[in-house]
Amino acid sequence: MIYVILITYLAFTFWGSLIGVKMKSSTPESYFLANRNLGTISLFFTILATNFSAFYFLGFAGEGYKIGYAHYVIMALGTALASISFFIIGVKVWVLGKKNGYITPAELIYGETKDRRLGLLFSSVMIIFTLPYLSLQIIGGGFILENLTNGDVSYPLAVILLTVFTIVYVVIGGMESVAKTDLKQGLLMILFMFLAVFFISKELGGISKANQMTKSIMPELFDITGRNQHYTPQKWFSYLIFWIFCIPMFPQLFMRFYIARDLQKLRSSALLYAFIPLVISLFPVMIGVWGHINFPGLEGKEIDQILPKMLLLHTSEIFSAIVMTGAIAAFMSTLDSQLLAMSTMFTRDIYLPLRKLSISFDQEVRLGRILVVIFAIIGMVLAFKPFDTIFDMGKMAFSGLAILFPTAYFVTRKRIKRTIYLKIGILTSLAVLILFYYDLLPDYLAFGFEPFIICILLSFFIQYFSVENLMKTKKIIFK
Amino acid sequence: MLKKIYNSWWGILFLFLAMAQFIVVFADTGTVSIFKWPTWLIYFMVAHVVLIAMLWIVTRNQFKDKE
Repeated sequence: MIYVILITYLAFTFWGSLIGVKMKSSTPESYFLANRNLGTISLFFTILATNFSAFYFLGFAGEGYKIGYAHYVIMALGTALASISFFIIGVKVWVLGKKNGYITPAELIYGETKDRRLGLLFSSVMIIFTLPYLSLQIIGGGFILENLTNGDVSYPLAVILLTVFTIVYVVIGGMESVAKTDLKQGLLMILFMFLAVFFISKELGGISKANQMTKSIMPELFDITGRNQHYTPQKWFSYLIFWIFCIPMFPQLFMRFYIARDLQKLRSSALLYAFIPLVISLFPVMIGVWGHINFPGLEGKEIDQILPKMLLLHTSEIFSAIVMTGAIAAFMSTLDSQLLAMSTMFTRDIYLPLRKLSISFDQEVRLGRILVVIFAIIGMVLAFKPFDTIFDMGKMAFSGLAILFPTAYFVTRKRIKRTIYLKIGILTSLAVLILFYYDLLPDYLAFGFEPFIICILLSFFIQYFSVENLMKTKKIIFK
Repeated sequence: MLKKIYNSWWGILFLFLAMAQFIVVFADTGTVSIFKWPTWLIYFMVAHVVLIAMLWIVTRNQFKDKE
């Protein structure tokens, strides 16, 4: 029965979106950017499904288990604050993209600064730091498929199957099919998570009862600082501000700024994007918090499996199979967007400029497809041996991407005179980030904040010297 | 003053970060009857809704003449 649900769901979600898409794409804009013609609902759901991934389903539930309700607020309000960056840079990116025909993030950086090396650096950093995030989707899918089939499909086999399926799907469809899938996927994801909370809480005697039980077992899960004083005021500040800088720098999300039909659609999507996390971030965190009632004492990477464990214990086999298959499809809808974005970026920003080649659209798509396969295989290899928990792998990837925010900000909103400072800013902040990650710099140098805050500030500080008229403060409002 | 604050995206951002930090430092640790959630969680939910309302208000007529 589980296999029937799995195959039917995946077929319904993915193959349906391919119908009518295959032969339509004849230009880079249609294949990579769905003709810059997405309305509010499609745009919002493609942003949502692209962004809420394994990190949302498994990572949020795992952190809810590990830290408590504080994690919900940080993720929900932090994500809502990120919608401000849709206005800070998203609007500018849309305007410049439409005017100058940019397709990748680095094309905008190069186009506005005329510095090829800066474009190369920007694109390379985006690709390198998206790889761990990409592998997270495969890891999450692998965990769930293994759980769902009671180990009949082993983790390595699950990883291989999911990677192959996604490759086939992305290679055939392009952005238009990805966006169509995201719409269905986003709607189903919200519905399933709501139902999962409903059924699990019903089994536990209602939401109030479940909360009371958990509070009696582990009251720290209800503290504003979380369990083991995890979120100090400095950490609260760090995480609330973090998403503003990192979410728009996900390459797949940056490219979503280009594809809005007009600015009103982008605005409506930003407002919806601010609202929805208020509701949906709560679902996995609640399930994670309640996990202590049935599965006390989980440690390390086991924590990431609290959601499937709770589902299998409290709901029918068929329902857990549907939710978990939905989660797998959610991972794949993030994975497909990442693969498409990365292959496009590598082709247009790195390979073609370095080889000084000019090729036809057909050749470009063919090259992009080969790169989809290569990046998917790299992600798969990383997934065989995850180097950290889902949340911490995500944090590392996101920190590297957030360092690029000042570059995008200054390039889109200021007149740039000295691009060398943009490059120095990126490289120095990355070096500091890596030193912190490998404990080569002591934690006290971050003054109690998360190290990525120091790196982002450093990046802003150095890159500010690239701006023309340094001392004149300009009004930067809504222009 | 208020006009100056929400006349800038950074102003809105800092306003909400300040509000969040205020809740973090001063919120009490009790629970409210709605699903027995912590009190501070409800404060944050209210702040979240205020943020969305503010964004909606300040962007109402922003982009009509931009395209």
